[in-house]
Amino acid sequence: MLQRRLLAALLLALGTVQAAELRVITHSSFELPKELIAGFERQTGAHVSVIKAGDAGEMVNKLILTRANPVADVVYGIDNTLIGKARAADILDTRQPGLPAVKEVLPGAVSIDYGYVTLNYDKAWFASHKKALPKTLDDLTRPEWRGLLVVENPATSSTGLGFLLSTIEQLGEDPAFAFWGRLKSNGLKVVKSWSEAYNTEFTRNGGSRPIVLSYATSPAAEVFYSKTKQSDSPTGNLLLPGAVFRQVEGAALLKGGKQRELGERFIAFLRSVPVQQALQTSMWMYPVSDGVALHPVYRFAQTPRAHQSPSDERIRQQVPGWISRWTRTVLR
Amino acid sequence: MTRRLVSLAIGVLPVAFLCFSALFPVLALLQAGWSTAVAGLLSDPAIQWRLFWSAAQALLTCMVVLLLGIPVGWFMARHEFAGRSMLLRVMMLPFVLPTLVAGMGILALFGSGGLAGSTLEETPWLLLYGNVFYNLPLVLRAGIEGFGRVPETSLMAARTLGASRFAAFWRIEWPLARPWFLAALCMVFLYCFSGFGLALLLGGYRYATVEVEIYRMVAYELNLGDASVLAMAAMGGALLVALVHGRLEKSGARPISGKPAPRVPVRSLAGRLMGVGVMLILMVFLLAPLLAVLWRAVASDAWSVWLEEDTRLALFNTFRFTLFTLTGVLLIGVCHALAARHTVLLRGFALLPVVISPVCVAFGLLLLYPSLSASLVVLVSGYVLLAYPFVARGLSASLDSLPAQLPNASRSLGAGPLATFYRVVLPLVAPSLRRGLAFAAATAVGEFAVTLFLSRPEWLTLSTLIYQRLGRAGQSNIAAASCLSGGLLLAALLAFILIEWPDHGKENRA
Amino acid sequence: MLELEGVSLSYADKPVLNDISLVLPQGERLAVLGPSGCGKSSLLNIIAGLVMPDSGVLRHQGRSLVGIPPEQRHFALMFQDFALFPHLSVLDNVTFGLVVRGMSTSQARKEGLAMLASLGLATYADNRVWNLSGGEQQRVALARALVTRPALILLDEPFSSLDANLREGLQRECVERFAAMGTSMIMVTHDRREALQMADRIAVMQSGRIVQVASAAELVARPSSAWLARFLGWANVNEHRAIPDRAFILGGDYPPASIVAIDYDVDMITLTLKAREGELYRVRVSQREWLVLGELKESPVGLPLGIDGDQVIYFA
Repeated sequence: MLQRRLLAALLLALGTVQAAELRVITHSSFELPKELIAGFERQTGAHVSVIKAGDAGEMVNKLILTRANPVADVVYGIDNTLIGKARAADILDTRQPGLPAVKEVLPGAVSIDYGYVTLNYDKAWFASHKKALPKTLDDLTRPEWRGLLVVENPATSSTGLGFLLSTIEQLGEDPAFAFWGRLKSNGLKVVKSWSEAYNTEFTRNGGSRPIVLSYATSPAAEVFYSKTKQSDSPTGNLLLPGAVFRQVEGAALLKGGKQRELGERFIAFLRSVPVQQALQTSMWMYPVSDGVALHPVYRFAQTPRAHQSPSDERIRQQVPGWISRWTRTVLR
Repeated sequence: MTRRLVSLAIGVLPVAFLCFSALFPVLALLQAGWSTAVAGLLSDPAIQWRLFWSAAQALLTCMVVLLLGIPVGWFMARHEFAGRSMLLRVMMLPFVLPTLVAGMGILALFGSGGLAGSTLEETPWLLLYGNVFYNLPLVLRAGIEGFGRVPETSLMAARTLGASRFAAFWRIEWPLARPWFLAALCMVFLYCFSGFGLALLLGGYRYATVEVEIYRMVAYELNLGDASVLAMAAMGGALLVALVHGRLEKSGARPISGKPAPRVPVRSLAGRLMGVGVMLILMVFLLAPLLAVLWRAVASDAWSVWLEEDTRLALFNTFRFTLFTLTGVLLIGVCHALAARHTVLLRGFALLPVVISPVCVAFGLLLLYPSLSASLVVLVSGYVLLAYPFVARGLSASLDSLPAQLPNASRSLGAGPLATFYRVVLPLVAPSLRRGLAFAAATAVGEFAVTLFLSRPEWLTLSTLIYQRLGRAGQSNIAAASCLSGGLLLAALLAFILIEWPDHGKENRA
Repeated sequence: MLELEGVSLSYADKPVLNDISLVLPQGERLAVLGPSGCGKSSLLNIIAGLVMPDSGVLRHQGRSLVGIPPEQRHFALMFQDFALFPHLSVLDNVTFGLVVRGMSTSQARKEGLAMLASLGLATYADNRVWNLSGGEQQRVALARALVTRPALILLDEPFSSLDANLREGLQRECVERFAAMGTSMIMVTHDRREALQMADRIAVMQSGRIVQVASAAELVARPSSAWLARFLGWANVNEHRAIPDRAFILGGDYPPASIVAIDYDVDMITLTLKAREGELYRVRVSQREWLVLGELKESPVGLPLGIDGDQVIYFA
């Protein structure tokens, strides 16, 4: 009896040691409730290893560098600014799981969520300074709104890149860079990352800039994470035409990954209703699945009606050139 | 002969570590980029300006920390006052502070609407201020040690030979302490020039350094060709400084014997005035941002964050990784210092982690060992790599100044080589070892370049948790991050006190 | 002339120097002799101006030294560890005192080289100091002190880290040079031979006090206590306690007689006892006893010397 129990325990131990491991590489902003992932692990009997590889752009480059010997089976967090590059570098499996079609697509991968990069403004600041809100991109280059804007560098931040792309889509390439030149002379501030822009430069958090490049969901997050209950968001979206970029984020099986079947199940799991609901307040993105209700806090963030996003292919071909041109125009 | 063999055998471990964790990865990355490298990149004026600016801001930082470091270092080396040893530990806290948190602290002081009233924003001064904040500790600790070793009789001789207090300082104390300062300044230069994240705090993007350019090329453009050219140029420059550093260290290794000048209580009016000046400098350049961080923590009113599961995990990991790092650093640092006594080449090797581009190391590791890259081994070796020069260099220096008679006496009294090391050498070099370990712990607790390496959610540390909270909008996230930052400071202070604890009494007597 | 009057010093409430008074005529060589820790180095530092006394007066050539910083006293100090500046060459060490007092570099160089030459060190001028032997280093230190023509040279155990041959040569050389220059000297040392050889007068210090000041000959002939006799190298010194013989004392219990002063001659020891008038004390030395009558306060008592061969016996 005892022997049989010991044997059973041993087998169980071996079983846990030998449980299939699914390696999921993702960007550093990835966050889902632990219970959800644990539930997936229980369901499949597999162990999910999440590997964070820095910013999404950095992550894709790390995947390209290691494509001969992939460090993961599934990638989550590739978006429409990077999918072209990822496909051109041939790091994604050509056969991706077939899941129900949705409006926001990511060719070559499975879209999971989407969001909008846009400008946020500090309501209290504009009220106390009795200043009108800018109505167009061009307003931002006028003396009246001088020195109010902080943006992230498109070379090191995906938000920064999104804004650059939407201005190009709106204005056309040359006029867009002319706009950036004027923006620079009008006291534009550029920082490395979103965290820096939002936490140190934005007036709401002690900085000097009442307009910050952020996400359309940030005003909702402000309410969600406020220290006291609020009836309105302290920040608002400044949805200027040419300042709204739609970011579609997805997951994909990696070429050369070991756990195809598990990977497919994980991607399907990302599309499942609980995950689609949870990601709204963990990663602050909109769910792609149709049947999923929006979290009530989302009413504090206006959803943009239109967006200005270049095609994936154009992004792939032009982004390196655009970034260096932007660097020449704005930083030198 | 056997001594050489033994030191070679001891040297194998650190050399192997450096090769596998730093040299080979960088070479792998350079090799990968070499085929597409265009040397013409260096004639691009923008790149030239970037290199120039990197060197210029590093040099400027060096000048400022030197000007501040001399009076403060001198005062602290010569005077005994209440709270002195605590101040020495507080001085190392900037090393621990995540740059973003320090930035928020500094902006709370000097930004628009800051407490200091006038704003330094939009000027390179803020960048410089950030650099000084992070690098002053290095220079101060070195300067205090340098001034602290000036023999008492040299000073007395100078005074009786007709040198005024100032002349004695200028002609005796400063020249004797200068090698220590210069060695520290070389480190500061290297950190500012090729360091990643530490230096470029508040310069905005206009004042970014060459390492950020390399980061952009590798991490965002995967432009390994240009990156390897730039990295070669940057590492060449850094290597030059490292060589100068090695040369200075060698020339500074003149034997200074004699009982060091004792620390005296501050009595005279001039002494008191100087004390006030020193405290003012420390207050403005070192303590103010720390206090601002602490103030924000107190004001955050987010104490419940300490009860969260993530925080417990982060605390546990921070403790665990610091312990791992210290173990690795101790092992490799001690071996390195011992081996470097007889092998000059190894001495230069100790600077390798400071000279090489961390971005290149991180991506090279990935290229070289993809299957290991998400393992704890790589993470910890990254920490060890960044932290161990502190131990190896400090230990080398104090082994140099160890009189050869002492180990010889121990051997003749019947102690074997190991017993001699443990009972005689180790206790004598313990203060510098502890100091090195404290710096090492600071780098491990702090953020440094670990964001470059692959990581896992279960490896959450206090500083990554702070970044995670600052990666989301909303006041309660900032409050939580502030609260965690304050806790991080206190925890680090506690660690420093523990690491350097037994030194306390001896130091007072010396 | 250097005068010290009632100089006292304490560190952290521990007395280091207790009411020191000394007079040093110009040109005289004085040795302050005492064991380590007796406070003699502190005395030297006070004279040099490096340490301020808690109380007492110092005068040099009639001028008070209170508040005069060391660089203006023009006394040169030499140390046991030579205190050569490790970052300077031999010549730069020697010219240091000239240059900081404002002499032109070329003139200082000339004088420094001349001084080095006179000490036979000319070839070392450009050497690094740590390449020199101990004797050479101390000669450089001597050159460095002499070249400034100080009114007074202060020596702090200057030869104790040199070997015997070197020491004697250098001691002679110092004496000759100081005499030739008319420089006064105060040397602190724990080495009686050094003191006897180099000094005109010797001040003996014990625990922060000067216990005897005398010429070399006088000191050797009449050490003021058993401790000093031993310190001066007497090989056979025994101490006995003189106890009043109670057998002769009726109706009283008196403390043991203590000795105030001792003098001795070829065949006689004279003890000065602290005794009461009219009381009897028995002084027992080895096997023999004497009865001693206390006649006056501090009355001298003569005892024949040489009870056990040539052993000198003291009472304390």
